[in-house]
Amino acid sequence: MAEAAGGGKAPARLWLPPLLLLLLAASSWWLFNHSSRAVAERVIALYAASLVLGPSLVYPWMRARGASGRGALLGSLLVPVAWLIKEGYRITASFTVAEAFYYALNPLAQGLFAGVALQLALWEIALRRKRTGRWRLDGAPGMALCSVALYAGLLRWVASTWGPAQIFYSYVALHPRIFGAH
Amino acid sequence: MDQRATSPAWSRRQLLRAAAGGLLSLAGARRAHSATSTPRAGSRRSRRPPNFVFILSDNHRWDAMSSMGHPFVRTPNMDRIGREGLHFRNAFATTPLCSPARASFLTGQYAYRHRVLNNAERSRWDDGNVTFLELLSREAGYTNAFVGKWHMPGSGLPRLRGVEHFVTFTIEDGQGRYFDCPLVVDGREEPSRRSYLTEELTDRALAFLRQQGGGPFCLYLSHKAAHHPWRSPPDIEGLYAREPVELPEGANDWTGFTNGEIWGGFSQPIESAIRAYLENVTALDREIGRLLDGLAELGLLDETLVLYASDQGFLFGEKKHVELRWPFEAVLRLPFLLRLPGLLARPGRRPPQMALNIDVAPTLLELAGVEVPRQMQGMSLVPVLRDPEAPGRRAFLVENAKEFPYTAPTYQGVRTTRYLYVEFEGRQEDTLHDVLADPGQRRNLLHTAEGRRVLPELQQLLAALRRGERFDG
Repeated sequence: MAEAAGGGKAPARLWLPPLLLLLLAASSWWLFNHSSRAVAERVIALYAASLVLGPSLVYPWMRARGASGRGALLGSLLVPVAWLIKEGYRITASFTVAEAFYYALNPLAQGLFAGVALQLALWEIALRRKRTGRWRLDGAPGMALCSVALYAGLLRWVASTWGPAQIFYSYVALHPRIFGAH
Repeated sequence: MDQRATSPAWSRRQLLRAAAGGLLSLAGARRAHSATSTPRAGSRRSRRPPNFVFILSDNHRWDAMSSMGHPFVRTPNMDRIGREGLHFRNAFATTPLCSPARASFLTGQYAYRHRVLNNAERSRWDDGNVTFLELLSREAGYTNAFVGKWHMPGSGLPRLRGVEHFVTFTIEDGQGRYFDCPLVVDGREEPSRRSYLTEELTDRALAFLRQQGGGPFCLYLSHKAAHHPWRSPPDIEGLYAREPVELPEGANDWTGFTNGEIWGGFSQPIESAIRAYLENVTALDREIGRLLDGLAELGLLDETLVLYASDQGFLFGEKKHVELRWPFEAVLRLPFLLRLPGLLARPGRRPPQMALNIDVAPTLLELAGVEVPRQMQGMSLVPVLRDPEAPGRRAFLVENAKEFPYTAPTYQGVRTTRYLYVEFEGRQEDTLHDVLADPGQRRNLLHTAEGRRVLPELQQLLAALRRGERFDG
């Protein structure tokens, strides 16, 4: 995915969609606490969609307009990373910054970023096909697909062996081993 | 303070058993009598100590019962216990979290003393803790069973002194699962005979009751219900699907996901979660009814104190929380019902005196004629059971220890009959609420004239509670 699209320097307007999504996310963080229930629920739905599916909008849009793979990757990660920073900041109310970084590795965040990687890999493969007429899995997209498949297989194995909740319990149990007991 | 137990006085207990066994025929006659008569209040004093059945549920809110005026949940058997016994309307958890609260029930101590500070593994149960079960067995010859959820931090199961029959589960970090939950029965793994866990535990409890001969017994029945994921038997699941649910002010279906509490316990909109939760409560209630019926069939109902309580409540959007741990009324308050004909003055009343989780141990010990150890910090409720005018406590300590990755901070606070004052660690601002005038805790009084007026006394109370002082009456 870090492969350049072959275009020149990407214009600033390419960043419009990711910045709009970020604005939406930021406004929803305010709106869900300060508006009517009906408005809040709709905004949250939009926010959740932008968080989970935003990369499928941003990545092809930026790539099709000449952004490099790395640039489109950064644009796609803008909202998920902002979400993670917000959640991490919340954790620092009671825990250290180092623990906030560990928080960023929680199973939900893992799932979110695995989903982002999957979307970007599939889009990159589709764009290559459009560009070259061939299905090419080499480089970053292939590695991303393999990693996501391995990750999903591991989760499935843990869930079927010990139950789905064990994924969370294992993550929590590791915390005191790293940071000690509070 | 020496909390360590000495080894159980086994020979003494055996002697008591033998004596009790010799009185079997007399006991049988008495049971036949008690099933058909209504003993007078106070007459139990001259009899042998009562049996105890303590039913502990999980996350059952104080207001999720039909007798509390809930618009649609059905809990006829819980209501019956309160109607024929007492329904404490001001009952509280001292720590609104499963493991510390459970340890407080068992030991009669605040979390800072029994040291199960939260659900984290490092905050593990200490086998040196003295439980009321141990004292009932050692000092009064009770035969005890622990059936159900143990769920204390730490790997493995405890060595519970004074418990002859121990049925529990360890799967899913000790939370168990509602369907086909593997059990650990007296140290051996066994499959469930029934598919639904609440029914299985009731069966196990009834089997223990049937084995009792003449001596007093204590059954500690600890349910997984009403803990998430809320699943109920097929004939109850969906029972409330069409009932309208009113959310607390400011909450919406996604509160929890958006408020940093994605670990709060469920992955569904709050409205459907509340319905599933209430169905789970009704499924639990049905099993409580089966247990009461079983006690009646065995002729034990009127000589057994049946006590029902939960470890704490649950926040379904109050103050934008979907969690436990936070110092709010909806999670601190407990259902607390007990029934024992012959002991209770004016059955059916709702005592205003406070009842706490730490009060269960001293109450049962006093009823059994066992001296309450000094290290127990609860107050026996027996005076309140016998006398509606008995003084209640003035204040108690509320505490929580932060636990990764949950957002509730470490705090200590004091709850009086009117105010709840909490001092938080970290960025969270301290809070002071008049919970009588403002039960929803909307207005923090800390920087108001009223707050400035009452704060010094509350701070003094909190400091005294931290030192271990008591304000029992």
